[in-house]
Amino acid sequence: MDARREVIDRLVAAGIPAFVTGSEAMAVLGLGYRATNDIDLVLDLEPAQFDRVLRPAFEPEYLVAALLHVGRRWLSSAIRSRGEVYKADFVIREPDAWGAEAMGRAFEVDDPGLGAVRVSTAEDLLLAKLEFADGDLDGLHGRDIGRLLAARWERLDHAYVRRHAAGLGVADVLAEALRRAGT
Amino acid sequence: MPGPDQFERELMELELHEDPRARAARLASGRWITQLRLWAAMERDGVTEPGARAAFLCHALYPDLSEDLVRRLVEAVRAQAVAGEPPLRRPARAADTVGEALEALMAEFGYPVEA
Repeated sequence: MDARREVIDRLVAAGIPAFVTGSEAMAVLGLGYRATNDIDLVLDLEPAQFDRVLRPAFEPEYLVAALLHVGRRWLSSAIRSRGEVYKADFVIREPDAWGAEAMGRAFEVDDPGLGAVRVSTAEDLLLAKLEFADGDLDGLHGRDIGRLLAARWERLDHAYVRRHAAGLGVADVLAEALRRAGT
Repeated sequence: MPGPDQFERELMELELHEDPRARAARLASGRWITQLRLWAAMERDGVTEPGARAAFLCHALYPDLSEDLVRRLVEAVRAQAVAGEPPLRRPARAADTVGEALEALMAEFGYPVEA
């Protein structure tokens, strides 16, 4: 079992709902492979509860970073202080329509690497990448967006993606990405 | 309380001191797990036709391939299927993906090697 499973088990034990996003979710969904040694997790947790609930679930075996408010989200990381090298990045969204819906739409898979785990849908992964790309379609997120559109756009819920892309202010980035992907 | 910069330094420090054999085993395991994930995703998505599987694998593993090359690979796989040659098969063990030596290394470091 992947060592990152331990991170998920600690979240489950602490009663913190979460789902996998980012490049790990791309890999779980069969959209590619990147040799990263981190895992990105979206948490359903009030920022005020971070130090009281999450931190004790990981320390002292992990170093847990202070929660930082960046844009519409709070970010933190945990890194295991010894043994296999890996890092978990935590995302807590400010309350918004998309964040709540994405948490509800995440679905459980029996992943060959992580075991039973909740993972982002392809639609929400696309929206997350569009938001993280910050308008830059030439970087890492932009390449993932192109890859996702090329492989899955025909099967995605277009109305859902367009509605939340508009709400997140990335509708123009989506339009440009679709143009580049030739879809 | 450590900040983001310290975390990046810490991660780099750990990576620089990771045992090379452990690193090779970890990366080989990543390649093997990727194969299992691709086949699991194809099953979830109902991708069963040999040509569609070839396209799925190409898009996931070799995104820079031109669509023309992918199309020709798909046609070749379909022709093989029509000719009765063995279709693309889900790998049964890590050696099918990373070779015997790396599978042995994976096993040495406790990584699963069978599907």
